Amino acid sequence: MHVGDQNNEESDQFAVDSVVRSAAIDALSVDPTVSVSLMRDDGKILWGNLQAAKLWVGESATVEQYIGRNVHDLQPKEWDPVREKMFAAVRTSGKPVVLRLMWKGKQYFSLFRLLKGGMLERDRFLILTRHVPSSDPAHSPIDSGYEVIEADAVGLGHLDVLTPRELEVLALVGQGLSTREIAQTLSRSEKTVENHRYSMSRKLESSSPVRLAEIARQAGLTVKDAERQRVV
Amino acid sequence: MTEQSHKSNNPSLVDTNLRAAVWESLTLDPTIGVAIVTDEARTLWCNKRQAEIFGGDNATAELFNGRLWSTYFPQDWIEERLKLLAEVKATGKAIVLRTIWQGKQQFSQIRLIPDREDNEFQRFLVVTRRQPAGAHEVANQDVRMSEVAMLGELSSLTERELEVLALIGQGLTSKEIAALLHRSEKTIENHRYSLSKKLEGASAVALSAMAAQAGLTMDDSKRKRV
Repeated sequence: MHVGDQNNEESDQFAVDSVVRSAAIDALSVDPTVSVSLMRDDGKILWGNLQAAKLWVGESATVEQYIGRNVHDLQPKEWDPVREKMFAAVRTSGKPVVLRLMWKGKQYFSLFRLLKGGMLERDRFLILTRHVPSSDPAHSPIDSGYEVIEADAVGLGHLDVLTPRELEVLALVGQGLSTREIAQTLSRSEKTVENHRYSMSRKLESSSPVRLAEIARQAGLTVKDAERQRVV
Repeated sequence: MTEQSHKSNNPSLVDTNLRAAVWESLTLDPTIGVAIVTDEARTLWCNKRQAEIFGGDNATAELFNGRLWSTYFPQDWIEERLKLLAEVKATGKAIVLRTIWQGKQQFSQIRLIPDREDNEFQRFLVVTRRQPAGAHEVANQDVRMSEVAMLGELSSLTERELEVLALIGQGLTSKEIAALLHRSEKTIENHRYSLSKKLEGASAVALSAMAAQAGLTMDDSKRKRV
């Protein structure tokens, strides 16, 4: 499959030429909401924008500290199999595939796209990653028609202090459920759920249900996440 | 860091394939509006998402492609944008425009497409996405605030209610809002109550999520409504 074919068809009459496409690359490279990485299939980062550097190297990182590195040195090793799985999925389906992951306590969606190599060059992957709060249908990539794979390890960030039980409760608080509804959903007593809420509030230094819901929303937290393997 | 330093112009990397892949990622993304517009106030081409932003959930790109903005949009809105296009053309630098559109905050990056100079019009690439409150910092970007706002489902709200909604969205409690606006907590509670009623009986948590999604600021309550 040739990347871009589908779009060429409808855009050509208005001359979506290489100048426009170069402008698109520049637009993405300074976008503060999308991190962009071009990765060779052996993990070498060929190109990336500032957001990608901040996401994987650190808040004060520069692109120079990101480009040229190998992803194995930047991301937790628990994510090597996840990435390999994504590479394989994209190669098999011939279409882009979306990865849902949690990093530093926030939910992200990554779109992996294959740029096929040739006789002399290796395959490359273009990876666009965006933070997506959970209750945000306008930002949901789910209905994009692409397959979505959930990472089976989570980077909980500041939520790492919570127990699996507390994470479950937090996820349901984020869905707007009351203590009683949470108790029913989890088949526990209201008293137990109250206790979880209390200890969670203390650990996260926030007692307001609205703020807790906001934290859960940013994390895109689901009940399933509570049991996933944690990466640091 | 300057914009120049993370430009992509490494010739060994930016090949036709990559350009095509980036273009496809942008234009097929269901969350990103992409449009090619000209300084004669015309949309040359836009993707599905941009059409939805312009015309609602069922709008298709065909409605807008090749059309003059005056077919659909208010004059104030058009003039504000033409001024920005002229500035981007004069300086060659991209500008980010923040607008309240359909009651939600969105950011549009307006970028010059470096065409030959003898063209009869200048093309621009406009990349738009909705952003909830405080979702990202816009560091290194020249952000302008649009003076016209399209409130959509929020247009039934009064100026006061919009202010309160903006502050709820920023995570403030009724007490904090009361202190900030120099009003009694009782008054704020009343505003909240009428907000909930107008917004289909939203609960406190739902109201806060909705407000965070909208990403309003206090200033938005005073902008010209279109």
